[in-house]
Amino acid sequence: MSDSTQPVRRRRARGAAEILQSPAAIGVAPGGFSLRVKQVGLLVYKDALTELRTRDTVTTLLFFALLMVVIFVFSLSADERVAQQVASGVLWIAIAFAGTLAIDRSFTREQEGNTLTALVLIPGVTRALFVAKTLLNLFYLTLVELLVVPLTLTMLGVSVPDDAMLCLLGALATGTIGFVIIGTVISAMLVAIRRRGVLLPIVLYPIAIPLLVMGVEATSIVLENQPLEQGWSWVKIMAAIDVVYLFGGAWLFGLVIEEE
Amino acid sequence: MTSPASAGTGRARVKRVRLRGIARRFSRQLVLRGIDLDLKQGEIVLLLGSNGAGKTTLLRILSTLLAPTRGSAVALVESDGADHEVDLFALATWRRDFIGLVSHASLVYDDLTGLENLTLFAGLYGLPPDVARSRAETLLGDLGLGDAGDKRVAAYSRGMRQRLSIARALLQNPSLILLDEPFTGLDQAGFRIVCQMLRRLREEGKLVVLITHHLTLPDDVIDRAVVLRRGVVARDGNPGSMSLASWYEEALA
Repeated sequence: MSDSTQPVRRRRARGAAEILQSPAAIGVAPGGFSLRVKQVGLLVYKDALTELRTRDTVTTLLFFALLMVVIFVFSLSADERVAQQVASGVLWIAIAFAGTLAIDRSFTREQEGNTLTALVLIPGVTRALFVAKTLLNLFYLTLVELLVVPLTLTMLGVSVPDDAMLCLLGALATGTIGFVIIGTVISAMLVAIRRRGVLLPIVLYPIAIPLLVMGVEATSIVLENQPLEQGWSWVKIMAAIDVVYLFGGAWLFGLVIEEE
Repeated sequence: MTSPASAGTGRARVKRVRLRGIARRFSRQLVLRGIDLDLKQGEIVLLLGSNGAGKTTLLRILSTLLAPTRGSAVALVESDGADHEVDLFALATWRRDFIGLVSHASLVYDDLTGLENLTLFAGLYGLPPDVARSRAETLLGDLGLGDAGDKRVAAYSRGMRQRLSIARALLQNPSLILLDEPFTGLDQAGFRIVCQMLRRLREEGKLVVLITHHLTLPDDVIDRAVVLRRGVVARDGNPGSMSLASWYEEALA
């Protein structure tokens, strides 16, 4: 949480007076780490409470993912070899599309009441907002995966060996985390734009495609019973990308929200 | 109990704001052309002007949400028991909770109740849960929303939403309060409640800047009026014995 010690960067006006005294020097400081944690909890609680009352995101996501998987599975041949080859693609298409839907909706409520303006006046809340929105999107995508993964594998008749299960979970987790992080940042960037829903996939997919391709590769290796070492190599690369996305995303998110 | 004023650490209380040569350009349009103003605590300043005069732009610059293209904004702040002069925007890079803002939009969540909205924002400012709830209930009562606290904001009228927005802006006990059209949608009772709140804020030593086209404000609510015309200050003073409407028309003549 870098904002507990560092001020948010802002443009200074041309001709503005030099800082007469540094705010830090006179004892002005943003809240600490414990406040950030509390803010994350409150923001997650707020979105969860709203979702429990409206149920619009979860319902839409699950029906959308279910429909996509069912259509894909029924349009494919029942050949076992073909099923093994396409299963990872079906899974990741469902995850990417449902994820885009969840990410797109994550700032809808902030946009409706223009509450981002109220939030940026609160010390250090931008990082907390990033963490909260990322956690919520991760939760939504986990729900989607809990439905989509067993359903796809069962309907296509593809089995996962016990020793490969961990690798499959690793691929799903690292791919999903990276997709959600970068999607949350891009969604925040587009929050002030009226046709955000159209722009989000256009901006998100080119950035997320390498990660999605790696996810498909790692999942294919598991489902086609290839050597797991190759699968774990992809998982490690995706985990490294996730770390870069996490720190880059947290930094970018602060800038993006401050400039809204 | 922790008072809202002492919530968190490292807070600053703004006692005066000095604007010099503030200009703001949007694309090719120069909306503000060099505003000089001195604003001090315990003062309620009314910004007047026709549409496009630059009132909201100036308020957004005071809120530090919009940087000026040119000019300086220096604040005299009290922190750690002493007064210091700092650049307003430098101060805002560290924390902005000295600002309470009511904007055109309500800045609250429709799917939460009024009380949930206020306790959420109070919690985000760092108030402990019991203090947050007590502060939220007090403000709801002060603004005539005591009975509506448990209703979802989606069911609120425009005037109730406006009063809730004012309550939200005052949660953290800010010292610089910026109100853009706070009387919009208010009935006579709501209007009186907000006027009473403004008087109280002055007594508490807050600096209040408000924009309104409501020129029938009681004399004792406004200390000073500033008329903007095409991005510059056309008149700055107290209407005195004149009615606000006549004083304003004279400034535009």
